[in-house]
Amino acid sequence: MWVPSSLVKLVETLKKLPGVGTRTAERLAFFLLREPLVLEDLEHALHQARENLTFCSVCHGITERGQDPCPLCTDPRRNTGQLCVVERPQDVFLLERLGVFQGRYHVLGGALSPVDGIGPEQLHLQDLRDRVQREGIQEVILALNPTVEGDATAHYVLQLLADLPVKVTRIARGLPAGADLSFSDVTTLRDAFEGRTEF
Amino acid sequence: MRILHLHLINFRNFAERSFYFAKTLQVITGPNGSGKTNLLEAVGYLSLGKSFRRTPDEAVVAWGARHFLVEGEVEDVLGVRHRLKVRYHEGRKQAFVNGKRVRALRRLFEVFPVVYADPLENAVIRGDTEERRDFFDDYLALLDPKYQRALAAYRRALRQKNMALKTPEAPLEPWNRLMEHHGHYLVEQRQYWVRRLNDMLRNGKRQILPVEQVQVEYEPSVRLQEGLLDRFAAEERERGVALYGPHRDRFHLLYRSYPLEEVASHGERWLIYYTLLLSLRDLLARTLNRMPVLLLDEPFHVLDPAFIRRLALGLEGQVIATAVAFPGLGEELSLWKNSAIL
Repeated sequence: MWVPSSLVKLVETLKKLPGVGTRTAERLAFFLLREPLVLEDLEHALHQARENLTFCSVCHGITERGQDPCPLCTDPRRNTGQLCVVERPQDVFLLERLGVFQGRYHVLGGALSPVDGIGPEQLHLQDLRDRVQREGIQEVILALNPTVEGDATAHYVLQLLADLPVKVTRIARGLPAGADLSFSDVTTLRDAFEGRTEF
Repeated sequence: MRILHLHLINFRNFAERSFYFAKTLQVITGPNGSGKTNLLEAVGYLSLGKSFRRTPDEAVVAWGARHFLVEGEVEDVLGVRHRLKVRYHEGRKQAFVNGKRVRALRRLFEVFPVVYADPLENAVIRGDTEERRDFFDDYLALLDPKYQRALAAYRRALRQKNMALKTPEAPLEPWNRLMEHHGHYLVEQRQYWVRRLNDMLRNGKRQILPVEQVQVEYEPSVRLQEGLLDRFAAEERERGVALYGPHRDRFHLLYRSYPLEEVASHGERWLIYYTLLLSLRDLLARTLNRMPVLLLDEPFHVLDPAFIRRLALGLEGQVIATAVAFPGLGEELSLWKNSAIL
């Protein structure tokens, strides 16, 4: 069977993206061939992303080249006393979209996981300690994933900052808003119970 | 609980077969290799969502096929019927209760609990510490969903710690904190459930079994408290493996106050195994408010006729057993409904 090699290359490359299997990759490839304008936009956007996006040297989130430190780190309206620690850069955008947090961020770049070869040196942890000291942070809010690795990282951070005059808190685990109690699974309900606050 | 019927597609040696079950006692007979154990395993799939022989799903698919289906109808004590289904296709497994997809396989067990007596791979009476601990962990996870999650988290933290022990300068403390936190719950629940099980063993109202004085003793390897595991760091670093914690706890089986391995004969060990299993079944029944279906694989090889008779007369609920051909137990088996598989 003959298939143009450029097409094969396109499909195979698309398949490397997370969540994209053969069928989706083929659909995307043929869509792009049918819509040259979208293809052009995509080409441009990919080029721009490669050229312009980089990591902020302060919070390690994503920023544009030429905007380092990133606007989130330099915005004078943001609360400088609170620092929210997350695992990945996308977590920052998630929290920003919610608009619930007005302080600054610190991206660790993952969570401790010896099995995957990730130790403290692979994460921006020492840097976190330096920032807390340098920037006079009053509260570090841990917004890590509720996994074994996220929990372990939280313990590590707690120990790392133990001798500094800073409060370390952790976001609550609990019930989704607007849902019936009976819809939540046992773990969530239990966490919500154990993390209850005075009313 | 009882299972009314079962429909299989591409499951082990069955291309497509339907089975109907008797209300109480049923023995499935057939020659070796006819699929008696496979049939029990299929019933087990509707309860555990996986093989109780610990076979991976892809190995259960009939030779040459790419998917399998196990479907059945069960009835609870109130007479309410539930349709259960487990479907596997090229690495993806889905479970359904009454046509609705369930995300946690545990839901199947909550609707349709079973207890399976294994004829060969019998960890409990062979006395291997690790296998015996796994046996109790499996049942405790079924008795308590929180135990299941704590166990999974504990095992994951342990795996990370073992890797950290092989990595110079990798911190151990974060994993120790998690092992202490989750481990604490495991120890507490192991103590609680062993106490409940021992009460059952002591006060079993039906004297089905001729063995008395069977008790389980739980021996935690350490008294867990926060910070404790850090003390073993030097020793563990040297050995390169986590040496302390609930993953090293022991369960002893005592017969007349002595360890089973020292005092019980081969035949007695089987009786003790069945005693234990029936007590666990009663414990599950009380906890889940439904009597698990009992699946006995080749019990007639290891139990004497008198015992089988008492078993048949004393057991509650549905029991499905397998037997090679007919083992000359004519009178004892008259209490069982016999179905030949071939």
